[in-house]
Amino acid sequence: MGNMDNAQKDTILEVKDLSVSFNVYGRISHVLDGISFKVKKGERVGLVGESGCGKTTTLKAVLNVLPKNAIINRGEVLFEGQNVFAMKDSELAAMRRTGAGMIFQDPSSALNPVFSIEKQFITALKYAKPKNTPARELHDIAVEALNSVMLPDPDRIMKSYPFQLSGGMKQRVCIAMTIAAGRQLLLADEPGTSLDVTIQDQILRLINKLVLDNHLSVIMVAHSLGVIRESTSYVNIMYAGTVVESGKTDDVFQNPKHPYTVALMSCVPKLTGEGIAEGIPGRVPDYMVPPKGCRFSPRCPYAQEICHTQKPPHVEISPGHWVSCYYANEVI
Amino acid sequence: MEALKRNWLKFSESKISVIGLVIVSAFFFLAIFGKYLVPYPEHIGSYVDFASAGLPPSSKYLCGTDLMGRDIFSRIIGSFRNTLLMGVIVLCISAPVGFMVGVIAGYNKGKLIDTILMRVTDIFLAIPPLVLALAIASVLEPNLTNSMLAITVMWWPWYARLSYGVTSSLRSENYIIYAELTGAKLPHIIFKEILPNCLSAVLTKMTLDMGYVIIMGATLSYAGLGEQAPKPALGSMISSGVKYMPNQWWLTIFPAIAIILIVLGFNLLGDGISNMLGTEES
Amino acid sequence: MSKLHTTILKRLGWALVVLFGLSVIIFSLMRVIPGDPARLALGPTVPEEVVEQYREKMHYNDPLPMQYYYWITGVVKGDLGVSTVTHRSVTRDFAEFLPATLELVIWAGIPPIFFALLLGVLGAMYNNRWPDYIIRFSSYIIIATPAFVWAVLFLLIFGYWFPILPSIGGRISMGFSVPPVTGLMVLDALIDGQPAAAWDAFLHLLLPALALALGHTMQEARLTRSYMLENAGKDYITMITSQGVPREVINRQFLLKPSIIPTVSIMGLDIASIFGNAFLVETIFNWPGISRYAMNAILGKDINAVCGVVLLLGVIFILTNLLVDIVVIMLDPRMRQSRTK
Repeated sequence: MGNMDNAQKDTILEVKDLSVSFNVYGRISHVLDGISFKVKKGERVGLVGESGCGKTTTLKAVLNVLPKNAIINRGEVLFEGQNVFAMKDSELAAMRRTGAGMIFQDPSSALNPVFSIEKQFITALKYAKPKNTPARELHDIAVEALNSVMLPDPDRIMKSYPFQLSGGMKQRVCIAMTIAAGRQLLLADEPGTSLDVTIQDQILRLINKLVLDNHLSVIMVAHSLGVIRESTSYVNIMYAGTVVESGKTDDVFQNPKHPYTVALMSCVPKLTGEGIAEGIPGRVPDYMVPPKGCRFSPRCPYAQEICHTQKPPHVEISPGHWVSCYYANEVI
Repeated sequence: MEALKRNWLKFSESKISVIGLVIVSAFFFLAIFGKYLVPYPEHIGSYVDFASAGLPPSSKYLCGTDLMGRDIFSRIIGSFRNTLLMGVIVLCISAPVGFMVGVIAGYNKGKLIDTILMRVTDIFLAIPPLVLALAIASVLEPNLTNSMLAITVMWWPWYARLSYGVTSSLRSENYIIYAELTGAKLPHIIFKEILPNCLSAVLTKMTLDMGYVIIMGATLSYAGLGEQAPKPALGSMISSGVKYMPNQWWLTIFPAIAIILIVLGFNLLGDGISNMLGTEES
Repeated sequence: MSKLHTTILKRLGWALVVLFGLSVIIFSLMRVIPGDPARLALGPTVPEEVVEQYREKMHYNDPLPMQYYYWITGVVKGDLGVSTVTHRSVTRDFAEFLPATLELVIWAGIPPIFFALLLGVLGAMYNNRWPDYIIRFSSYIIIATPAFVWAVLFLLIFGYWFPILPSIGGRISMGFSVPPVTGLMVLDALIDGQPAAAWDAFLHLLLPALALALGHTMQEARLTRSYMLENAGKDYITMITSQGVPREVINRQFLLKPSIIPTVSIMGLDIASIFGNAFLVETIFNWPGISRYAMNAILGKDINAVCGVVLLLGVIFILTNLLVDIVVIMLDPRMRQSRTK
């Protein structure tokens, strides 16, 4: 009993069998189908997959900010033990203000174009800090946060409007806003993708540093394996709305067990010169008519009868290494 | 074929848009064939029967008769033809002309021709639309052609603005530059690259504009500047009936309802089209 | 000077250019009419020598560009010629009739702004529920009805069937006397300390202003609603929601402001075009304003008055658009400053 309590106290976020669909003009798009993963305190967890596999949807579900046409079929998202979908308004608000925060993929669209940074920042802080915190103090907290993300001249930034800042600066502002409130869990949605490669690198390093300095937990979403390798200690590989493999980052990278992961790893050109690998034949499934059984089965070179009909369970094939595949051990 | 079916599904999702389509189709149908379907076709035009003048609506005369003894219902339907004609002609001239002006200006953005064309457009836009139309129509002989001319003259700038906006923003897009580099001639670029991008905005605008042109035409004919008597026009029917309110209210109310319904139809249709075309991206 | 000022000055400069172009068009219109302007002005019975003298005086024999010069300098000094209908200087006619129309336009243009925004916000907030349906349904019908049809309907309903509001009666009832200060009757009555007169004047304004206001108010409400709904799905709203800021705060500030900015420019255009719509409405209600004056001028082929009115309305239109541009610049920071980085 005691052990389980400790384990639970250790876990800041647990996603259990999350299944989300979207109503698109009367037709249903079954995007997420049974996502499960955990994030421990201070852990850096990766969520990897191609564009459109549902990573952003998963993050939005964590904060319960899914669009209006989203349908939550089943599953729970437990933040510090409480189900986000069942929380009262005040609890949800508290979680969003000081519990978890999201860093959006495109900082240009994440900031309101007609308000100054100061207005947006102070407003967000106002609700995260105790009531009646004087404006001066809020301002100082914001400036300090801007400093910690290595933005020069924070006062000028505060007075600026988003269009006056570069992409990298805007992303730093967003990061600052998220950590200034003291949130414990960061949801980073491909934080560098819309930026220059060099800036992307800086941003990722910044996030890593902040996370390590402040003992924060992170869900790092990316489609680049290199990013995941550098910024996470645990990784979940997603394909078409399902988690196909998860485990310690090093483990999964060195010993991929799911056919999809294997193919992904071989797509990355290696310095050891094995030649350029081919892509994975086939296409991502149509979420309106998703494949029965394993969602990867139409493209899987090893697929058998059972793969097409029954969804493989997420099974621990070696300590800490989980795979959703009937034939995991037979794959190299 | 598949695309057509898909578009129809999207369009018909909104019942209101379908109502608009029905109204507009009925309007078109009546404009073309109305003459043969109305109960009193000879009343559309000069006809006098003072014995039956000023009768309230009845089963014999659905909307009553006017002061010359003519059946108002037949005259209303009879006016559709010119109303439709005006809308179609005005738009078929002003839209392409305005569109080309805007495209040429936007394509040569920054050069002299751009400034000249757009400043001229601005000048026309600066005059309150109705004022210009009234002024022109009053200077010339009052008839259908001249009122169409007046409205056309003040309508094209809006299309110029529309296509200018799209063209100048597309101008710097890579695929336009590539098209130029590979030697594509201007007409090709316009029709293959630029037009498809404006198409939904232009089509929506044209549909909605039909309603506004009809209102403008009715306003002009109310002022006596459009189709002259004895041919029927909705606006002039209303204006000649105003003096006889409230007693012979049917002289004004029925033509007014006709205007409202027609414009409503085009507005609903235009909304439906914009939904159908605009949301293709999402 | 700040970028804000230079932007405004630039707009002003262009406005002047457009005004110039407008004056050229109007001038051409004037000279295009067949017939002898001197003869038209003086009548058929006046002897030829007098007519010739008049022609010299009015520069009708000079080359066109010279005529334009004389005309435009006259205009700038306030001389727009003499109306062949009222036989007074056109400028004098303007001074008499313009305030009535101005008052009408102000009432038909400004208070409706708040209604439009309110209805738009309500429609967005109650999206797909009954208040939204009512607003949308009624707005379709209201928008499809031209202003002059509303005028006729109001006349019928409130003028004859239920005469609770004054209709054809001018700006104020007999028995009230209000010394003109601004020309805006309600304001003048208040300035003069006559609240009863002000109320009476307001009642007289109500029907024509309402007829003019209904169409565009509902159109603006629809636009506001659709911008609100469109922006509600944008990332910056998702972001601020995910930060735990309360819904009301988001709606009232962060969603509203970006949604009304595009509507504001439309509102400006609408206010300016009320002048155009006022033509028939003033005629129907017999409102003693510039538009009714212009209608009579047009029907009476009073060239000077017609051109004067077109010029005047053009000026007002341009100025209104300029004003709206300035408001938009002030609301939308993107229009103002240059990039700093």
